[in-house]
Amino acid sequence: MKINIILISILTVVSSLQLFGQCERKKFCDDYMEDFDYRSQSSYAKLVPGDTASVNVVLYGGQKYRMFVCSDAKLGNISWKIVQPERKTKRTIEKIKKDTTLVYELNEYGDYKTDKNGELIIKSRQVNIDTIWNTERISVDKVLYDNKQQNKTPYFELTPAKSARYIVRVTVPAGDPNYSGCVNVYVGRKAIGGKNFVKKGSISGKE
Amino acid sequence: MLVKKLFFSLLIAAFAILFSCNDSVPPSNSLLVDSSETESDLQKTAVKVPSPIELYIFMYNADAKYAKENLNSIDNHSKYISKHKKALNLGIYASDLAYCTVFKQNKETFSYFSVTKKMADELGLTEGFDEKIVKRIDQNMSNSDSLYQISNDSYATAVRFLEQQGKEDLLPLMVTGAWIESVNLAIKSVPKFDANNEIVVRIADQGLLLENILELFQYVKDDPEFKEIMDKLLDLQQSYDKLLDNTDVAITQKQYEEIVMKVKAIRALFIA
Repeated sequence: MKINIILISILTVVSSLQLFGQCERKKFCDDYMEDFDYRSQSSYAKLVPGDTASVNVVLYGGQKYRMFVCSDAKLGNISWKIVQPERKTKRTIEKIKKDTTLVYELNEYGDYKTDKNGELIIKSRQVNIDTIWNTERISVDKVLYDNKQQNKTPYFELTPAKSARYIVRVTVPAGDPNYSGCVNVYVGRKAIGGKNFVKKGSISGKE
Repeated sequence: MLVKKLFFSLLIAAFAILFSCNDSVPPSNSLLVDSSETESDLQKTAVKVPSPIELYIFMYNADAKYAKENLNSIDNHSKYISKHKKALNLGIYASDLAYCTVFKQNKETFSYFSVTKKMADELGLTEGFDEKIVKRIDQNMSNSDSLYQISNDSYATAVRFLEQQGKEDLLPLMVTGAWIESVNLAIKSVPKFDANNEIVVRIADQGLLLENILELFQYVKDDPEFKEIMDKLLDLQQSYDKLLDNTDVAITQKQYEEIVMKVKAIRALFIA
């Protein structure tokens, strides 16, 4: 009996450590997947009522993406937005630096050679005058999708002309703080054009 | 009596594991907790970086040529003794593996899978590059499309495993290794600078990925062991920041050459 209790205690610990992986294996919104590849930047999380979370991703220009958020029904109606941080930068001169640039030896493949200690081998030194800039980044969020506004389309699709960073912001409504559930943020990608590296339909959105 | 003592010891150990996890493991998959959070207002951020496979597919579609000599030699693996070097080169070899599968080099795929698995084993990664995958590779040795899918699955599973296990020290290193290798291979595939070359534009885009990678280092930024790598990446970011002033082109030749030099130097230090 006591041995059983010990085993149950150990198993409880082990299963607690496995919780995070369970969200990944939970299947939500299978109908929205289609032939996008979700492996690269999807995120799976266990959240509690009242939590807010965000997922920062990079989407390449010229590729088609589909993004959506699905969760355990017990968490209630999750709110989620996709925003594009429009980055504005302000650069000011920090200092003018006189610097020595080291020119390193290259091998026949154009890679830097290293010595037996793993250090790059110096070929020559070059004196440069360089301006060191201080870059202040200001980010202004532009909302591209809000599931509370556009609930007729349960997912967001876009084909950015240029590569850019995007943020998926998720808010779990308030509720029983003792309950936690999975919130999965799916980011699917589909290549456009080119030699169609992967045969149509061979990329699975369902892992 | 002995059983009672054993039970309490295990119970204490169990609580120790649970509470230590609450302290050090992000509360959910790869979520970084903002230091200013309160219990009632949790702010969690997950930072994702596109897999290097996406860049390789782009290169393949842009008719880049496969070049085995640009990969990190398998023979180098025995040089990587420290945990840091192993994690960086796990990423580099995983990236090379992905490159081989995208360019349909089935023989090299097997060799690079073997070395990647060896590095993963040494770091205690039990998912991603494991026996299940060995079996899948064995069964699909002649099928390039399947090998690509297997390599894609392995990389994604390994990254998620590190996220879920709260291995904040290994994750940024593996991702950085994989990323720097992909940028280096992209650079090597460009014979001559042309601002309109689609691979050159993709290389210019990598500043966005670098920004996310640097966010992954936030957990370990105060650890002196990471200082050298972070300094190199921040220095590279300075070069990428210069691209923000461009209006007509994504990148100028001078900016490109500066980035190329820094990427090559970082990669050489990683694989040494």
